[in-house]
Amino acid sequence: MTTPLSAPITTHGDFSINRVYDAAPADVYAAWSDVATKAKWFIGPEGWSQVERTLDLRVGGTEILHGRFAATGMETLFTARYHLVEEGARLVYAYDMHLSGRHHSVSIASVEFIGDPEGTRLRFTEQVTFVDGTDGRDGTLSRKRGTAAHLERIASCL
Amino acid sequence: MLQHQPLDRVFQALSDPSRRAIVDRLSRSDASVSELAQPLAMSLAAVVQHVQLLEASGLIRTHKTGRVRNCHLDRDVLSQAETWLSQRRTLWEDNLDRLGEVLARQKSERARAATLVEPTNTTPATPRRQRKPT
Repeated sequence: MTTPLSAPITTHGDFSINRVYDAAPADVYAAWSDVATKAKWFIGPEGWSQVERTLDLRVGGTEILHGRFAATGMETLFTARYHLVEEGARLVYAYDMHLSGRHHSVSIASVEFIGDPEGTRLRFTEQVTFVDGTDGRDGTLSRKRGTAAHLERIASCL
Repeated sequence: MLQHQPLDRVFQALSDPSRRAIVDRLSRSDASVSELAQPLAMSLAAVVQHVQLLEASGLIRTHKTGRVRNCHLDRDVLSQAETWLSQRRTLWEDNLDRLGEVLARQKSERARAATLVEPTNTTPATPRRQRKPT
């Protein structure tokens, strides 16, 4: 991969996802706060395996999820710091994503556990800043940087 | 915002290492199907299938001249595929779907445990077994 000729482009975005689960808010929250339960669903896609996982769920506490794709050797590193911890109700954390050592993104994620007649409504909102020079609309820079690396990055997040 | 359906097809098309190798090869120059097959350890028929899937996703276009099918990478689609936000969202949707499966399994396991311990339990256990995600 060649070095970009100009300064990396910074792009921003946000999204929300809503889910209703047939479970009490305390149970849904426990799936986020208990590291063994979280390991059942907070994982990478097929071909990805876990290298390290830690979770210290308190304000100022950190979470790490380090993994690797067997096929490409691509490493993913998620490092989070919790800013708001309200048991059974809300979580706010900031996290970095590094892909094979390169800083890919910085995010603020909010998780709300809302009581619902059907169980629990979960709302996940993420505000993300991509910092490694990827412009989604303009392929100019990416062409300078080589397609293969981009394809690998797409694959790493599938 | 981008439309999700076409992007999903693009990501699906790129989920396979052989297809990524084909796209990487086409990012250097156009190539025929047999030229694409050469560096890949697979049959021509398999390459044709990959090419068809890539074409359906809109990532590549093909054009037949005589008996040779030439392949061309559509760079606009590829740069659209680089829209990480959409891909990040998909990542979290998958996570939250898996979370739902974990919660459903917990519920059915608890219901089964309750019927084993208390046969007179008034709430009938309706185990809704879900397949483990692989």
